[in-house]
Amino acid sequence: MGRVRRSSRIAFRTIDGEAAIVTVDDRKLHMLNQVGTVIFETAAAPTSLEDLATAVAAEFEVAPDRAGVDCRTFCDELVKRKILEWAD
Amino acid sequence: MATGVMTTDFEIAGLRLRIETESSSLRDDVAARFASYEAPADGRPPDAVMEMVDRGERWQTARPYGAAFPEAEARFIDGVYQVWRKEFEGEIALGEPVRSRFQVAGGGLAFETPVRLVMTLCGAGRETLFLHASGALFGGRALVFTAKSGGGKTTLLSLLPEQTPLSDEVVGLARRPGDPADGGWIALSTPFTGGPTPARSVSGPLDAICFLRKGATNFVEPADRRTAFRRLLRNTLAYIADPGTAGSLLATVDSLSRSVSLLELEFAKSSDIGRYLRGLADTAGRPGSLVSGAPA
Repeated sequence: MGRVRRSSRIAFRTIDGEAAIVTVDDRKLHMLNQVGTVIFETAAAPTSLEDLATAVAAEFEVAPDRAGVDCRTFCDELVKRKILEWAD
Repeated sequence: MATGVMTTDFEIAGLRLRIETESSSLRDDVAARFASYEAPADGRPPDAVMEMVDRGERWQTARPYGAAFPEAEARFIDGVYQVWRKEFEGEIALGEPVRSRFQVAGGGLAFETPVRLVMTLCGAGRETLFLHASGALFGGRALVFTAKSGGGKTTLLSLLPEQTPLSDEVVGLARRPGDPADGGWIALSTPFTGGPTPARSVSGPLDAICFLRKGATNFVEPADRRTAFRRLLRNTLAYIADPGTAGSLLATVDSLSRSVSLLELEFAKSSDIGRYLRGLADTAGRPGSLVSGAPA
């Protein structure tokens, strides 16, 4: 599994526990829910999808296998939106 | 006619803007448009300096524009903003002060959007926002009304003839630490208008920001803060293309949304809304009031 990290082309702020992210190249605002915010915050440094799934499973009542699938889907979406990028 | 560089200082939303040009006609056009916003000669250094070159009435930028570029384009390259639209192009360097140089078409209001661009970038780093909003003073204190285009900003202001207007299009919001009861924010008029004549320069402590919706009744309720944060950000003038300035803007909107009353306001198109809002403003700061601020 690859590792992801935050893009350098964003600005963000946590509002009541949920991340508000601006991608400056398309000047769009993205609001993440609490699960997404945990993934985003954990990806401050390059992080494997396995470690992201572990962080989500620890924070929320979800099985690690299920968390792994959801993390993969979610990270693909955030990479598409240029909020995260593949680190390797 | 070139007569050497002429300098005029303005104060817009509390920010000092110096405009330099060799064109007397451009200088006169700017001075006429921003007449109420000329700054006093008090020696205060500018927050932003704009050098403007008048290229004549027929000039257009050679950069791509048109249907694909309905708004001003902004690129942040090597620490400098490059911005353009059909009738202007220029560069803006962030710093103290913000420095910019623009070429503009003459004989109209081509200078106004460059001024908006510079002021929004200047304000983002100085806890000052320019919000797509109308607003008015009630007993010297401000209520601000924001909505998308066509959402009722101008309509509502037209129903408040007894109040001093802040703007029908863009209101400045600036953090000014002072009396804690004021929430620390003030609302300021701007010369940016959808109409022919800008509001004169006035300001007042900010009591509430109202998110408008047209309806059959006059009704107000607290707004959800996360939703309000998102809408404030979307309604803020921001031609921002660098993460640092975007981060400053997010922090400023966050601070604003924590400090002042955020309300959902449904209003009916009737003069009754004036009385309703005056009643709302009169409760400011009182126990149980939806409106922050110091009691009258």
